[in-house]
Amino acid sequence: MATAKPVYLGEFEYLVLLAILRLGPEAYAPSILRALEQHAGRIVTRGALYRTLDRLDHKELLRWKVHVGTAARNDMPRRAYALTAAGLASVRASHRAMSRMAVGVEDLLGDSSS
Amino acid sequence: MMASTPAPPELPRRLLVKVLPPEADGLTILGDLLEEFRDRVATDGVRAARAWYRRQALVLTVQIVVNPDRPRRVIAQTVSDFTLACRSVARAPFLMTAIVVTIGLAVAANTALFSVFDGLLFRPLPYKSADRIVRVDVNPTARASLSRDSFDRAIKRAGTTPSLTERATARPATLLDRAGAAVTDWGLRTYQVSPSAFELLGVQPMLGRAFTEEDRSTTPLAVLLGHDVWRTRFAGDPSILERSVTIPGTAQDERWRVVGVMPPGFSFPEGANFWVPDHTRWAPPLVMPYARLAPGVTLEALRAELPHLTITPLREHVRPRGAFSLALLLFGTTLMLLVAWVQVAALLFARATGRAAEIGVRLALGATRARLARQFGLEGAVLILLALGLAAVIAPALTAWIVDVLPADTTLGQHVDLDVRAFVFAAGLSVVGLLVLTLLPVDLIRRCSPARLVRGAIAGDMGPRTTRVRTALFVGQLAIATAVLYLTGLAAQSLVNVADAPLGFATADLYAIRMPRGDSLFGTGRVRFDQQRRAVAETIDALRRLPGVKSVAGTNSWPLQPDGLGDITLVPDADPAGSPITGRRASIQPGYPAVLGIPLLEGAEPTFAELSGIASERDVWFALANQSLARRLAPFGPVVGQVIGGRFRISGVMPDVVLDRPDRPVAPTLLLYLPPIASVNVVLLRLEPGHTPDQAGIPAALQAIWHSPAPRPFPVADAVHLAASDYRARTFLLGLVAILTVPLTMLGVAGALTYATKQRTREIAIELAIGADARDIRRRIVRDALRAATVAIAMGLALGIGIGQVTSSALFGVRAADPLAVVLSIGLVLIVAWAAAFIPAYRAGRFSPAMVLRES
Repeated sequence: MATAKPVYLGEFEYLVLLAILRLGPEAYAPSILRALEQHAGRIVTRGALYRTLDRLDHKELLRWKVHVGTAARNDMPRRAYALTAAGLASVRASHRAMSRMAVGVEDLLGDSSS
Repeated sequence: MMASTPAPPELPRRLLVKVLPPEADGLTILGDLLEEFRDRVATDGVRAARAWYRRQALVLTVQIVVNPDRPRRVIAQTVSDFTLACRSVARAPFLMTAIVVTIGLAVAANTALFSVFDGLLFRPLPYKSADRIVRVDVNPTARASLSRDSFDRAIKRAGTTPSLTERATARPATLLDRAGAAVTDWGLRTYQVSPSAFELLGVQPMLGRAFTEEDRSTTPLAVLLGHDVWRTRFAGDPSILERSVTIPGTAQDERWRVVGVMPPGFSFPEGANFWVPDHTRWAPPLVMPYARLAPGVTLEALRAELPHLTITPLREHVRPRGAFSLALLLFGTTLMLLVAWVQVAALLFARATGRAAEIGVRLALGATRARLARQFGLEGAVLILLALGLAAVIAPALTAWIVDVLPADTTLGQHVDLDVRAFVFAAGLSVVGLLVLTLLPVDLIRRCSPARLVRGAIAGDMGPRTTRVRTALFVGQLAIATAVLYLTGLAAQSLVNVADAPLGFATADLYAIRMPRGDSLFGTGRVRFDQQRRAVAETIDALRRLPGVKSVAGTNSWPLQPDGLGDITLVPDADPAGSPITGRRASIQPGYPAVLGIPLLEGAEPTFAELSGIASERDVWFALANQSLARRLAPFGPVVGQVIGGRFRISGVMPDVVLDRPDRPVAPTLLLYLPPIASVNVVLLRLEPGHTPDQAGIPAALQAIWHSPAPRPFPVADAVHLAASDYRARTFLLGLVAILTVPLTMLGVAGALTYATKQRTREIAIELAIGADARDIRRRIVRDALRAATVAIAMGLALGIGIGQVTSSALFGVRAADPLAVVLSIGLVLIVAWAAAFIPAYRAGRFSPAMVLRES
């Protein structure tokens, strides 16, 4: 399990994976969009999100399950996303890299780390 | 409840359904949108939610359409399909080579033929406002009917009218020895042109300068070189300008000063490639006068202003002849394309039916039908790429070759090179054609289930139909080849007949000399005529005294001179109320029948004293009638001594000889005796057998009278050769089409037969295994091919004879149904069919049954 190799992540990919982690079993595309908007202040287009999700799926950093649709969706299915081991390793690696890079410049970065 | 649930706007929703990926992928996205739409309805209201949905649909659509990953995926798939297509093409190398070579040759041949056709007939002349340039000629009937003074006035008026501007002249130069090395080895066609000619045409030399007024009088004489002469004879040396050069064979070995080199393709007029300055008065018929219509003047207005002259637009003048021959080229081009496509269709059809099992397997493995169709399309594209590559290599060389071998009187000095538009057109047609043909297997796919295809049940369904279609295509191409060969045979026979047509007189040792006007032109009116007449009389006397000369006579045109005879209408005195006789008219001097070597049938020539009595055009002139005319003038009584219409006294009757065109029946012809007051244009002379003009001392005698430039004698046989030029061009062009069509057909037939034999490998192997004789199998394949060829020959001959009948005016001395052409084309097509069947038959006889059956 621990052998999953971390993959270099782009900034937006990193944010999307973090959003999926935060949302847990509720990680559907609309909720990911909302999370990105609320917590990261990023307003992204739907197409950009779907394409990124596709790409992360292609890199095997996330997986999805199809859930049966609800009446609010006219019974259309929906995908619940979750991180794979490699996805988690990559998020960890990115997070560590960012933290290490921030060491010593916390003063300059202001209260961002608090 | 359900009815009150607001729905997203319909149009954007449909748009999304259209662009989103099918099935689960797309539905998830649609569901996400719907869910959020409903949330927004609850929070922001229906209108805002709908506006939001519209925006989302639009943005999503744009993002999907311009998805950067999509082209990458398509490219990857196409590359894989392309590789597969290449492999599939490489699996049938013989068949694919046959297709590629066929299409390559067809595109190249079409491009070349069409380039020539278009270049000679339709491409605008490469001169400045070429449609406003006209040539002015003497109208022969006006010349015969006008008095000399009126005629002079008409010419003068043409030279001064403000309706014409930028006058220029050109005429064949007599400066170079006709038989000299320059003409024969260097291929020089020399013209004297006025310095204004290049301005009129709007063409400037590529190197150096055009003529100036000073060039007329300086020595050595200035000369402009054609691009080819400069390149081949002076090695394209740019430092040649203003240098003095010698040209072998030129009169008195003169030296020449090259002042410029004309651009490639410039060959005005009539194929000229060597120009010297001229300063002759702008007056027909002594020179060829050209001019530009003044602004606002129409051709019709100019014709009305100068009724006694013939005004021809330059375009018509340059492109008047050979239009029929060139139309043949277009016809040939079409036939050739047809042959090529028929056989490519045959080859591809053969291949398609052989792929049923492959298609079945691929369908069973899950390939979509669209994917298979794309696969076949790509195979077509691979073939097209190879074929067009081949065509691009061949076409320029083929065009250059056709232009090179095209009879000079067909090209009339026009510049023809490869027409890129023609290549693109032929290539485009081929792309469309081949793609349509390669999609033939799709028809198979559409109609069959994979199981049937794999089982081979398709073969049972398609067998008879496939064989029928294949046979029809095979017969079709051989039929077209037969028709082409047959028509070539007809054209060749017409040419032979025209060239060998009995003229009624021997052309051996018969020469003509065109009498120049020379410097005497600077005189005016009667002085000019008197000078010229005296010089001609002196020439005739001098020639008569030469030992090698048998007889000499003056005339106004040599036998078979194009447009040398005028028209005449006579009303016979015997039957004034009857229909007038229309015929031809020539002017001669006493001794003319003797020079031609034909004895008079009745009567005698007028004496010099009798002719001297004629002082004006109003007197009664003496004339010879040919037999056809004599028969019409006086069917029952004597014709000699009759005076026709109070103008012409018939002094004798001569046999019907061909003076006009060898391919037309001899017309009733009146040969008027020129009185001493009239001028003579041509001197006709017969040498003693075995003498040449040089041996007889003719050039020296002419030089003594005319000085430089002196006229040169030329054989009348040249005129006979020229008269057959239309037939020669036609034979040549059809021959060319045949040369290109026959190998194409052979290739196609051989390819189709080989493939058909290959498909029957198993059947043949079984036959061999159970004891059939290989020779029998070979014979059967050849026999089948020849049987189909027999049907093709019958169809091709019917087509050829039909076309022959429609174009019978272009034939001479041969009927549309000609036994010799029939026999020859049958023989040739049978040989082609036999040769095409030989290779597949030979291979079939060598199948090893054990090997074949083990492999299958």
